[in-house]
Amino acid sequence: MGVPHGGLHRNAACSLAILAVIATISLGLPALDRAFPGERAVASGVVYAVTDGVTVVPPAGARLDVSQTRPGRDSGYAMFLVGRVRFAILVTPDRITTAAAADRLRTRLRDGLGASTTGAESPTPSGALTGRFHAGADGGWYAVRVLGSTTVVDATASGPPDELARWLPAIEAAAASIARAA
Amino acid sequence: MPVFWLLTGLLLVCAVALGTMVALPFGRYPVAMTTAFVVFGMYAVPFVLFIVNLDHLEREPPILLATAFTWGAVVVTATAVPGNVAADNLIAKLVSPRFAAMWGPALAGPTVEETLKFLGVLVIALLAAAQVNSVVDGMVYGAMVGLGYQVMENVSYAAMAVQAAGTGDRVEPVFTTLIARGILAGPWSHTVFTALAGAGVGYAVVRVDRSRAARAGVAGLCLGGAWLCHFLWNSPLLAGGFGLGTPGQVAVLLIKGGPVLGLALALAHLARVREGDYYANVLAALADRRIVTPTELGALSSLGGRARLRRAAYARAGGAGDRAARRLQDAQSRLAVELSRGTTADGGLTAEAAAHAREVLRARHSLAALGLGPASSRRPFAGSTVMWLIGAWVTVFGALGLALMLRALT
Repeated sequence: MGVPHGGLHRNAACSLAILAVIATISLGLPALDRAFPGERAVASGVVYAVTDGVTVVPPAGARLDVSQTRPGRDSGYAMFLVGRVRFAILVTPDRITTAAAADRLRTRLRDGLGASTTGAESPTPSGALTGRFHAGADGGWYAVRVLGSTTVVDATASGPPDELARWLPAIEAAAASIARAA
Repeated sequence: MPVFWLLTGLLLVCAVALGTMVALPFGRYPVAMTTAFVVFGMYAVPFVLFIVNLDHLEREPPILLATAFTWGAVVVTATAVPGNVAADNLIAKLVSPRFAAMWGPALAGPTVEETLKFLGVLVIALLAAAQVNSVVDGMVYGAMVGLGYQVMENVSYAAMAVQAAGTGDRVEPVFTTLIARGILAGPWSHTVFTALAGAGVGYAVVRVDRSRAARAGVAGLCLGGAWLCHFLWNSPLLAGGFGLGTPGQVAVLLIKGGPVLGLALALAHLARVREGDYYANVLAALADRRIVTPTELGALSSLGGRARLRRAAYARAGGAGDRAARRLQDAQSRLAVELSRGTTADGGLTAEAAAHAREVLRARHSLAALGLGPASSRRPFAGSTVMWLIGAWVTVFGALGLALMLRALT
């Protein structure tokens, strides 16, 4: 043990080195991330596993945003880009009813995107509850399903209203294809 | 000093960035976020008490401890958030989203966060090198940096839990986060990781008798050890909890975290004993029984030994005896630290050391005035106030966690 003594030059050099490392992490890494493309083409008509137990058939021509996609074992999420519309699927393990899950999703949309839901929810033949929302200039659509009473699937699509209207049939078909993995 | 301006600038810039980050959830969930700050602020108290008592021979200046905590809470949080997201995305882009989902937190988290926290300990060492007198000091500052980040990370997780719950501005997710991340995962988290890394900085600063390469190597090894502990903690290994549900998950927490905490505590103990022996030798070299007796020298390196002597004084002279014994011990510690800083050119005591020696003699006279001679009690250690406080905290929160786990199971 002893008592250290450091010079001004060494102090300045170390300070610059520390600043360089911090800048590399907080600015350099994000710049590097932006430099790599994050979109991947997905094969048309081929199922994509959002989790080990839940799959979806993405809309034809959709691209996968790998930055917003993390398939897990029981929970996971995936983001597909269809034209300028973002089609997101979130899978979580939970024991709640479809109505409660839809209520939770509406609250998340309100808190997360500042979205307002419009119109009434309507059930689909697959057992989902669907509805519409808008967030700023974007229009939105959502569907909520509960698979096997323990898995909640939230599907949302948002984008410019004209684009959303154009792609919505394909997105609705993709949402209807969400199923438990074989 | 350049590092002071670096610290000031980074604190200002990162405080603004952090303020921007928390403004949004605060605006949406004012009650839940206020609760999160209060709860995790209280949560930090026993950690702080434990950390500042790690080095009982030389308490660190509160301003430096606060600076270390603030570095962790402000600088690390503000810079780790974009760094973590980018690193995780890069893993997804360069390998695959599935690999990133499994191993992203284990690879990106430790790499970004341990580096940033390590830099905080370096900044403290550059800012006040004279205050880093031992490996234990490095661990203390490291633990404070880690604690600062741990608190802010828990607050951010609480905000995410509130958002994910989709029930609006409710506090239940905050308390769920407290149980899961604060109590079950907290004792072996960032505080411990960065204490390990800080030990390396402490070694590099004080072991001037070793080569620069050796000191840098030990510091790098400690940083690597902290990275590895963090990696294992975040890794998906044993994520299934042996298929036993909540009890299995708790068992995995203990398996993953227990050895890390044990390692850190063992390292702190060894370093403290070594530090105590070093300072005992420094005092013994004075060969002055008015300054320190052989019994007091023996107790110097042990928290239990010091407490035993104080309790012996308490038994014979009540609270005044306890306080007088504590004053003597603190004065002896300050003198030992001052002596370790060196002597005058002719080998005599420096002015500071002489002042501390007079302080020791005054404390010795106070003890004598109470009828207390040289300490030699063998009264068993019954714990200090701090230990009682920590014990009470662990008991209360442990019972709360157990109750919530049982409720979740039934």
